Amino acid sequence: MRWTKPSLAVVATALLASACSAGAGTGPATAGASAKDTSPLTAALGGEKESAGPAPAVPGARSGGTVNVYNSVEFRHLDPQKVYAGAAYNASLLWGRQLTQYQVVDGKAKLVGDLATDTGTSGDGGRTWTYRLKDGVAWEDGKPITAQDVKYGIERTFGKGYEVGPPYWPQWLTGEASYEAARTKYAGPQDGDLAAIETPDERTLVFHFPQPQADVPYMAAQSSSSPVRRDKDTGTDYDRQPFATGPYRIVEHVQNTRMVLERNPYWKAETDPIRSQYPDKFVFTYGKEALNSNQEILSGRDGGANATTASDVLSPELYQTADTDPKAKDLVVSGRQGAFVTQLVINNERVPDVEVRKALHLGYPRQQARQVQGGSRIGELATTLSSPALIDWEKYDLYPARPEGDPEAAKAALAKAKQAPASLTYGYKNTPDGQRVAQVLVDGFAKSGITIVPKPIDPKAFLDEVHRADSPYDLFEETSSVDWPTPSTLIPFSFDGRAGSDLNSARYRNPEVDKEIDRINQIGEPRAKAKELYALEKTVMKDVPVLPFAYPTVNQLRGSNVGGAFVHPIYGTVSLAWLYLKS
Amino acid sequence: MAVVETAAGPAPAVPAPAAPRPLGRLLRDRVGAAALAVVLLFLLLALAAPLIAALYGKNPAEHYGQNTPGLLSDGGLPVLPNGGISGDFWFGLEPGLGRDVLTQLLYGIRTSLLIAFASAAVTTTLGVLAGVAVGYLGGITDRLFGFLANVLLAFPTLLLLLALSPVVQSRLVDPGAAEPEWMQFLVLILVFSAFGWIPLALSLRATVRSLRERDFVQSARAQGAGRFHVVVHELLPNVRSQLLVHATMAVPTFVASEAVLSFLGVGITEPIPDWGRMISRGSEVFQADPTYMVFPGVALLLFVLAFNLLGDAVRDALDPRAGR
Repeated sequence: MRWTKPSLAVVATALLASACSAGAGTGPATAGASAKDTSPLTAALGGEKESAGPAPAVPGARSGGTVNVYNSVEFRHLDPQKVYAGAAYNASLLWGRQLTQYQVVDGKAKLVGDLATDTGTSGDGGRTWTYRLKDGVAWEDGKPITAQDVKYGIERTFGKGYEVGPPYWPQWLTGEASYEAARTKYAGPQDGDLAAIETPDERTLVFHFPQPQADVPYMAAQSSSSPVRRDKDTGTDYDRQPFATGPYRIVEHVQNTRMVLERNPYWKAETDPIRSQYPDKFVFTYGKEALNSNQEILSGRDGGANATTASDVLSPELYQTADTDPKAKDLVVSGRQGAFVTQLVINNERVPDVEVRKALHLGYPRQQARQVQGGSRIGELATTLSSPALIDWEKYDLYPARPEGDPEAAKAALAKAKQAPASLTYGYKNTPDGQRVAQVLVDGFAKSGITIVPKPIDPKAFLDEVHRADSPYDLFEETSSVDWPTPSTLIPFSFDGRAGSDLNSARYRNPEVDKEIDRINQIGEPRAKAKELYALEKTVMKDVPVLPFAYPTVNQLRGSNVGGAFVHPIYGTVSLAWLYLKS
Repeated sequence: MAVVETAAGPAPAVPAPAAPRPLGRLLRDRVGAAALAVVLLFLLLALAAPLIAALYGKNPAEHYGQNTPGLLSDGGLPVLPNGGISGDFWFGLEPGLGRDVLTQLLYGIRTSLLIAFASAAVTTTLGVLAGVAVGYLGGITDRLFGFLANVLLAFPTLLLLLALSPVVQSRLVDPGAAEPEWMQFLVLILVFSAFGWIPLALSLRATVRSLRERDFVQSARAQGAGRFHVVVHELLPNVRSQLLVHATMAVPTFVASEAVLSFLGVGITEPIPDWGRMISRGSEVFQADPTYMVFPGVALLLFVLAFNLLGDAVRDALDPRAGR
């Protein structure tokens, strides 16, 4: 055999030459949300004055132009009564209006009246809530929005097919604890009129609840509190093209491909204290890989300068670029991901000894687990069950633990346990990131004398696997959020011993806590209720049912020509309704 | 799979005068000798991995970068340039977990070689047994074998493995325990073996079919030799070179396939060091830390290339007429 030698050395050198890389250096820790120990939500509810339009002007904003919105996947739903996700809530502000909504100025959110003149007045200890609609609020065809339209929208949440949306209106209005039971009492608009909501005239709504409900002003801000006009309700097609009330209307929507929004001529700025209407058009393009659209936005080519993403985050491949290139760094929009909290959940049925759980808490290598996922840019380390985004939130740390884990303290706690577990099973999503975190936990907890057995789970089956009643995992990671920025859906849902393991994934059972939940649920005023719930949260945390890991941070990109971009403090994605084009 | 279709030389009875022995011929081929040297070096490194690691003072399991402040940045990238190469970490640090790249590579050779050699041994044995027996027997056996081979060849191996690995996980592994290391190795070796023996068997069948009509076989039979004698003493020596070539070519194929499977996440899992997984990680961090991809990439390239060249050289050495 004769060869003209294709020198290996040449190949290797070429590879090496291209492989020389600068180190990460020891620069200051990268941006991300700087630790804020107070809530971004103004606790006081907006009155009539704050609820009057127009919205505070965005400094430096100008009108005109087309904003491109890229996203790898389309929103799952556009039908306002089916929408149940932060990114969709946030985007739907462009075309949909609700009874109340969050006015955001300088990253600080305040709940104000949107279609309603204020955030609602309660009577009878929180059993009645009254809303009055503003003058001059109109549909995209110019007809006024009536109280009956709002009522019809809320009636739809009872209907078949609407179980994908939040269950709260049906539960509260019927006084039933479960959505299914609520639907046996009233099953949607085809069942006729819902007696629990009165509409004495075209502009007044009176809600009657069997039990006191403190959180109605917040629920009224959710997408399911949007009006729907009976004659425009196209059924399933309404999910593709809802009839607009906001500053923009949907003129074209090809599902999973493209959606075009144009100005809604009948939207009046003086009625809306939240939204602005700077760009002429929004064009949503779906289906492009997140990395590709991010690169396009960074380079500014092909409309990338006028673009942002709906929910696609900065790809890990671009972290280094975003750190080292000042131009790229400038285009990163970071903020807390709404009210989400990531936790290492302990199955309390399988790990019943509080000392063992305390040992896990003290030995948890949080910093290392965050480092393998991208470091401080992915979030702040957490010490609480509740997110800092909640109303009147205050930081607390019941059992201060070292971020890198404290093997000595953990061993001491373990020594107090009746019986130290031989090993603990850690179920994780079988992704490269998941595998690395598993390695970190195995390595880190081993130092505290705790053996972790990592068990990979198919990412699609993960939630079902860890939530089912006889799930064999002792530990697993979970990121979840309350439904609105009060603690009302936190402890009463996720730590109620009577709830199933799909909600109470820690399988935490404490009769004292259950009793407290029942008592607190009778409180009809949001801040008073929140205060009691925070006290109860500390009671729960004493038992360490879960290990708080992080308040996740969202990093998205905006084009160099896009102004006014910030991460919505409640919805946790870039707020489209505040954007403008610089030129 | 590299199938060597050229039938081996038929003249065992009258060897060419003064022909050097195959090993000598192999060593005189400069490329072959170099390839052999590289292969032997890899073997030596694999065998001596614990010794080298002990002398070097690192192990492949410890998360140095995470446990020692100052080695990795907040985001998990090596602080020093070129993937964190330093006097302490000669090949740098793994981004994220901060393990030592050199020892990971060394122990990775063991993973690759163990799977490749075991699979090559099983496939060669199976291939010889089936190929020679079927080729010699012919008739209905041959037809049945042809059908079986076609069925097995039609199996999408990669898809099968992708589908199989969660099943193995959930059915065979106790929920409270991690999948044992031996099981991961066994599954890969079994799957490689189940499908890897067919090409060899097919080519041997063809060779044996032509050999069995040759004079020396006929005369052996005429002298009253039994089937066993004919197969073992007359046929097998004539397919020996074909076998050797197949085995040397199979090893690099299995090494590459194993790396591909681990890259896709169905091969060897953490924390067993593995080249395919290193390359997969390298591709994730390529923009930020390209150095990390280089070491497993170049190592795999060198290793597979050396084995392939060795396979070619072995064929040349055993078959003096080919390619000259």
